[in-house]
Amino acid sequence: MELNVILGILLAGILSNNYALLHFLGTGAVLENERSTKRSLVLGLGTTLVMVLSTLISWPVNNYLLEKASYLRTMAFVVIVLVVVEVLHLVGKKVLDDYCRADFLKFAINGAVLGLCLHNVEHSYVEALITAAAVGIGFMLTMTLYAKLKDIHVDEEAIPAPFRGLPIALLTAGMIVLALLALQFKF
Amino acid sequence: MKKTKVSYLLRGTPSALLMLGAGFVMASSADIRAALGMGAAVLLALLLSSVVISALHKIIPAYAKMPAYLLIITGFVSLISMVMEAHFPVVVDMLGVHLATLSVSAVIYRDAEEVADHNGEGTSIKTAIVTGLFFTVMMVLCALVREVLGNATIWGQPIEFLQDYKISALAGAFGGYLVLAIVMAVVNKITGLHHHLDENNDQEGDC
Amino acid sequence: MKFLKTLVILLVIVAIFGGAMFALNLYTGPIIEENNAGAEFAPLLAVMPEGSVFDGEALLYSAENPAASSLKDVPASVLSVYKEANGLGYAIRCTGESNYSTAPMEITIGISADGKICGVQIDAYNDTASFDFRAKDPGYLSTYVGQDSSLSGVGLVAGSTYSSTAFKTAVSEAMGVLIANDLIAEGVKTDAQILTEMIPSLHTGLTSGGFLKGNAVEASGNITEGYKALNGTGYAFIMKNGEASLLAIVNAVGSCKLYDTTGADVTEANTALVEEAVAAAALQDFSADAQNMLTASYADATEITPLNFTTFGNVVYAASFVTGENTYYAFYSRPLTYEDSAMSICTVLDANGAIVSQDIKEFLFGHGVEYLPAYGSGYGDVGSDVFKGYEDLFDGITSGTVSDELLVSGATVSSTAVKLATQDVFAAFDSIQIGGEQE
Repeated sequence: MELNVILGILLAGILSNNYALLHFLGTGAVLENERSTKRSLVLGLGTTLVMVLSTLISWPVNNYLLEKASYLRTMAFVVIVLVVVEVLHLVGKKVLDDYCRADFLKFAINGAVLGLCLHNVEHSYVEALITAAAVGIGFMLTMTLYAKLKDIHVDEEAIPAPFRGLPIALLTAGMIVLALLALQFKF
Repeated sequence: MKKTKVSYLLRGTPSALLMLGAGFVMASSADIRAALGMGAAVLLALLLSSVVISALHKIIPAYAKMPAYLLIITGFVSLISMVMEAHFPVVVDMLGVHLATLSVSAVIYRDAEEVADHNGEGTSIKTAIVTGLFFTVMMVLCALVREVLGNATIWGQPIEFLQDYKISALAGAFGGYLVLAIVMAVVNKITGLHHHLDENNDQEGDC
Repeated sequence: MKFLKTLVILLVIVAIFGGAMFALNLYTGPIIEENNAGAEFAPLLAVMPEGSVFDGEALLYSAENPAASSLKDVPASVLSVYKEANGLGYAIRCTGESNYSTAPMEITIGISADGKICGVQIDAYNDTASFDFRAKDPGYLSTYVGQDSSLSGVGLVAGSTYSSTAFKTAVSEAMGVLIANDLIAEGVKTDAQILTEMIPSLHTGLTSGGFLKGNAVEASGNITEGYKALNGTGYAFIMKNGEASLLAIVNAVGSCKLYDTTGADVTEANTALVEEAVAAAALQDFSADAQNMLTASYADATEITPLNFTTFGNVVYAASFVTGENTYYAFYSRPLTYEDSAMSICTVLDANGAIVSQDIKEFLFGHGVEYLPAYGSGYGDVGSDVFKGYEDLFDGITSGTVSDELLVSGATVSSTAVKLATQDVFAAFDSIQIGGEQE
């Protein structure tokens, strides 16, 4: 595979193929994120790892075992993601201990991971793995960006009362989406 | 938990609840049919999984709860999506992977964890219905705005006089955020359940 | 122990739901399969003969997975190829280039087992409506029905040349797939078809945009087919000559030439057929129109002498005239333009063959579209001179200096017609000069 294709997929994962912002997968988990920047980064990295490992397993499972039974796909993928998260959780016990273990368990199983596995069955294996890494990095960056946004002091008085909280968070995300969408058009 | 006017609503306030399901609400609110389909799927999944989980929560040991609940929810979501795919293929097409990702949606999982796990079937069912209907109404409200103004169609049928005035951005991702934010603000205004400044300060103290 | 218990619980849950899904799939599976098949085949049925059936084995080729197909040489424009279950034919989904939209137009074509198009439709057209050739010529798609792979009976749509060319190319490429894989026979051209296809290159008066433009003429004597030019520039006849067929072309002043299927000039050997062709041609007399147009610009022209010319083009009348002390040559030509209406052009050359003046009139019928807009303030009409600036471009041009600079973008059809007519004028002038020297 050519380098520019790989770079293209990686860049798309962060920009035009941004799951949390453009595909509405894992959006809730990102909007809800009130963790510190450092914790967001660790969780994001963990999620990226979950994405890559889940794709590593789910792609062959889908293509070789579930050919005749596509209705079992979601169930099988959830089981795979669960196993991957549990194993990672056990392996990384020490590192994660500082960053709230239950947090990782809950967080890593989100729509972005499952949606990615489901989307990825349409790509080739190598492409799927690169896409998984790219989407994971994009997810991590978006999450960290959101955590940072929460840190910045916002003059809440300036926002009309009904817009405080979720609505203004959505509008902020919408603005980022506009910027990302601008990159999809070819002029 | 904060005292609220809306009882049986998971998480107490619309704003807090919507945070959990913002993803699928925006994903399926570009078309009224999709919104209704997703609403029905959410309602059914909530209902079925809370009934089963509130019946089983005493049998399942604490350490196995999280994966067990996830699998139960996934099972129901899969069954629902199979029926929908057979009878409403258009809707399933529009929803894409979002229907399947309901399995891991925070809304249903938190409902199982926070309501069904502690309460009897009665409370669980009521919470499931109220929460499910809330999401359906929110999605349909957003979809009305996005489909009519963004796509100049209603229920997939073109609206002739609007064809030249459609605001395509509303049908896309950006429209999802914009319309949901405004609808949310209106709901906040009406219910009076919005973020108060003092409340916000309390939350900061918690951290 | 904990671990084992968890595992057992989870396995039980998975087993219960797996079983339930398996059971439900017995019911929903067939419905879903049918839905998918219906959605996939629905556009195909619209282009195929009634009673066509597509089943699970219909798909011969899919661009998503070319390796799985036995078809070879499939171009990128073809998306998928389907075979009808009862051998009625094939359906092809393909794409054609769009003008300005990045999304291509999507086309579905039905081709019967005998290699003829039985239906064609456009599923998606993403360009601006004004580029859509269907708006300009609603009957265009139906001209494809019944055509074989030679597509000899379809032209292009004036004013939407680009998109209709793209469409025709897409259809042609799609049929090429079936031919390359020996699924249908290539359209075999008859002698008459070969001869008919030669007409545009031999008699430009019967041509517009590279395609034959003429009204069919009834067969008589040795004439099996005939075309009368829409602009009065002459005739083309397909004539029997024993077993073989010949093409006879007649220009506006009654010159005639014969060609065989190889394109060789066989006029000398068949004088009887030449006479028959000339007799069958009911030629129009344009001398009054031409002289009116000439004297409008050259009021003092005298000694207007009609001249014969032996070229086959848009020129319908030629004459020499004297004004002052000089002799000039006037040519009246009628090239076809938008919607197959004829323009009127009066070109005056000096004795050296350089254009002295070019007078262009275009006859319009209330359509405000594409008439040399860059050079006219209004719409051209009989007697108006809205093309003055454009006409002046031609002053001093000789047969060697006709170039694409005479084309006007945005008025491609009209200005191409003028350019072709100008070339015809120079050819006619040359044929007069040669004739003069021989005398």
